[in-house]
This record gives sequence, C-alpha cells and structure tokens, in this order.
Amino acid sequence: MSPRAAALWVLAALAITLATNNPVYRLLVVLAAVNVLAAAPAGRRRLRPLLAFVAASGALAVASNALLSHSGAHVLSRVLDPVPGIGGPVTLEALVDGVVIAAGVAASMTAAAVLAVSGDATDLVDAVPQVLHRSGAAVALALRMAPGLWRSFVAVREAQQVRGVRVRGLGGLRHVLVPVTLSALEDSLATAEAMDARGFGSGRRRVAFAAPWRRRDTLFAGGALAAAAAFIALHVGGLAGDWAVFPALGTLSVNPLAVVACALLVLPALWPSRAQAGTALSSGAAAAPA
Amino acid sequence: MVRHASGAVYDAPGVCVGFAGGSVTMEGALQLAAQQYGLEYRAAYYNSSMGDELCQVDNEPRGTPQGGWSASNCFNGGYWATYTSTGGGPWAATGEGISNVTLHDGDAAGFAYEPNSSREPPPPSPAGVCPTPVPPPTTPAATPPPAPPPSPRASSAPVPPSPPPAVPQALAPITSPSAPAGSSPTPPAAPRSPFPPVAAGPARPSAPPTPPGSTGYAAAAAAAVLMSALAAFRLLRGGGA
Repeated sequence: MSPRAAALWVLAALAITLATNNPVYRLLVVLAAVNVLAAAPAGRRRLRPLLAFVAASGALAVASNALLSHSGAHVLSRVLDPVPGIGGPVTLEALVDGVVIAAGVAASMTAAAVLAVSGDATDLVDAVPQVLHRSGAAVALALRMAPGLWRSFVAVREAQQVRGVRVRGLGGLRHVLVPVTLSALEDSLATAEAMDARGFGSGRRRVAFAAPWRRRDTLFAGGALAAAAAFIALHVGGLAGDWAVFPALGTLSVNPLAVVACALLVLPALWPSRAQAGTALSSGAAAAPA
Repeated sequence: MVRHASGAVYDAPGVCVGFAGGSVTMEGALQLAAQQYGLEYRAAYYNSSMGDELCQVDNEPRGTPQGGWSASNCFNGGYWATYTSTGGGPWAATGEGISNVTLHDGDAAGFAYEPNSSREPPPPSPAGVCPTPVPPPTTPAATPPPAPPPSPRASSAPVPPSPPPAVPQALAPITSPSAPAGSSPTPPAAPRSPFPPVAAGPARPSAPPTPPGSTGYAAAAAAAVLMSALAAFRLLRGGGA
C-alpha cells in the first residue's frame, strides 16, 4: 500500500472510530488495523510493543474514568468523599464508559500505526500535498527522532554499564539521560546542517522516487473511504447508533451493514503486495533504488 | 405512560395531553401532564449533553433527598427509564435526558421505574390509549368547539377541554421546571381531566421488547472471529509479532 493510500485508509478508520462510541465497531476497527499491520514484516515487528502500549493506555482510561466520573445509576463501591477528585461513588456505568473510551483509544492508535509502517519518513512527506511539505517534513523528522532516541538510550545505558556505572532508579537515570540529550541535540544540529546543505526551503520540493499509485491502492483507499461513508450514512440515519451508557446501560445495538462497513477495512490485509517482503508496507519504498 | 416498579400504571391505561405546535419535549409533556392530571414529577439538570434527568414521578422513589434532587442523587436506588413510541408501535428506549427528547403529534412517552436490584419491562403498549390526533381546521372557528363526547377516549380532540381555562391548556407555556437542580416544582394540580381516573391495577401484558439486533451481533462475532483468525495466521506464518 502506498503512503497516500495508507493515509486515506487511516483517515477512513479514524472517521469510523470517532463517528460512534459503540465499542463493537471500534473493536472491529482495531482488528482490521491489526490485520493490516500483521500483513507486513515492519508491522509485525512493531505489533507487540504497540499492543502493550495500547493495553496500558486502555487500562489507564478505564481506571481514571471509573474513579473520576461519578455518574451512573449502579453504584459498585464508594471511595471516601474527602479524597479530592476521586472521592465519591464508583459506578458500573463509569467503568463501562472507560471501556468505551479505551476501545476508541485502541482503534485510533492501531489505525495510526498503519501510517507509521507504510513507508519511511520521506514517503510520508511525499504523500502530503505540496503546500504541507514543510509541516510534513517537521512531522516526519519528529517521528524519525523517536526510534533514534531509543537506540541512543539503549547504547548509552549499555556503555555506562560496561564502565561500571549502576543505572538504577532515578539517580542512576541521569547518567544516561544527560548523554542521550546531548547526543540528540548534536543529531538535530547535524540534520539541520544536512538539510541546509541540500537546499531545504529554497524552492519547491522535488520528489526523487515517488511511490507509484497502483490499482490495488485505488481498491484499498476506495474501499476504506466507501466503508467510512457508508458507516457515517448509517450513523446519521440512526441505523448505527451510539451506545447510551448513562444514566444506566442501554441496549447495545449492532447493525450488520455497519459491521460489513467496518470489515471492509481489512481489505489491504487480504492481498498484501509482494513488496511487503521488504521492511515497509510501501511498494514504492521497496522498489526504489538505493 | 408511567409504570411503577410495582407494575401499577398511573391513571391506567395512561394519560393523553395536548400541546400547541408540532412538537414538545418529553419534559414539556410531563409538565402538561402535571397541569392537566396532577402528575407529580421532579427533574434535575444532569449535564450539558444529557440535559435534564427524571428523578421522581408520582412520588416514586418516595421522599425527597436532603437538599433536593440533583445530579448526584437522582439515580440513588434506581432510575426512571424513558421510552418513546410512534403510532402505537413498540417502545424504544431513549438515550437522552427528558429535556432533549422531542415528541410529535401522536407520539407516546413511557416511563418505567427500575430499581437497581432488578430490571423492569417497559410500560404497557401505548396502542389505542389516546385518540388519533386530528389536524386543526384551516380556518379559525367563529364559535366555540362543540362539547366533547361522553367518552374522551374516543374523542378526536386530544386536549381535555374541561374545565375551560382562560388560555387553552394546549397553549400552556412550557418552562423548564428543573433549571435549579432539585427545585423543579410540580405545578399546582389543576382540576383533573375529564378522562375518568382509573385505579392503578395490574399492568397489561407488556409489548414485545425491541429486538436487540441478533443479526448484528452474529455478524460482528463472525467478522471478529475471521479477522482474529487471519491475524493469527499472519503472525504465526511470519514468525510472531
């Protein structure tokens, strides 16, 4: 899938996720995104840490909502009122609402991860319109910094351990964070100089090797956008309604047509391209010469 | 139509109110019922998205919390489930506060009290309880309307006309009684409607519940199983995540 097609797929998945609070549809979006990620080696490598992060975020959402939202008819327990913020009743409805929020967070994060593995930073910048190239470059550089920082953190920590420095606790962490911060600053300056030397910002950005748009991209992007349009139409028409959680749990209705719309998002996982044998979902990235 | 937890229906088989214009909020309908039938109710502002919530109807639950009804005590011990029905059809649960639900000519509003300890069915079917609304004449009548027939249930006029008020009851202003939380006043009970009061008796067989959408559940389960199997296949064949 080309970065442009991946961006449209992500847009469609986010539209479905944000259009409803129904956790069934949101979980179907999560499953579709996991399938798309699992169809590529790059996605498979990132799946385990991504799911761990999603699970941690979801647990945080459930716990904070249960403790901070005191609405709902069915009281499960009660935290002492004098406890600031969290004091008050803990209700079943607030707990379930936390699950609904967690499903939305999971769907958004897994869907956005598809874009992150759809190509390298250059492909993502190429995928945005010309007027947004500067913003795209800034975002792409920021995205590229994250794994670089982690690699630097691991390397410095290992080096300090070899030198006999105990890296434990907050006190020991400064022996790692200070060198990592300094090296990150140096990397940033080097990147800025390299961009300056290549004439960044002096004129219209040229694309050396644009990821080709293939028929399968039309199918994937078109299918995802059609799915989102159908879902939103069903939602606006009242056929794929939200779930009323407050004041008491309402009936969780699921529309089969809306389920089909969500399931359409899995199309890119059914026909993975041969180029995905490489490190990215982007066929263009794999085809581009070194 | 108000159904208590005991199964008793207020003024069984239900009460009919008239209103001016094409629509009225559920809270406005309750206020009209309070004016025309003396129905007691209390509402409290819940939040900006839900609007006003129903806390007490016909003195259920009994008593008033210290400090009055508010969002924090409105659902203590139970809550009033609210339903709407169009054209005598099955009840549909509303997911919003009573100030956000709009009723149109011929619609029915149902209220069933659900204690936390049990799940209660919706009120009895509203079919046939109220006369079919008749559109008003296009030209203003020069003479007062004729007296209602003896049986108001069969009357074509949905507004109880007796006793004749200075302002038609249908034009009674609808004001939110719950702006200050817990202070929603029940208007003074007006003379009862000409509809003969009926002692609260056992509820009629309830309408069949709204289908929960089993086809949707089956489709969602099938899609989830298929996608999970596909993801597992990819992960196992590709060497795991």
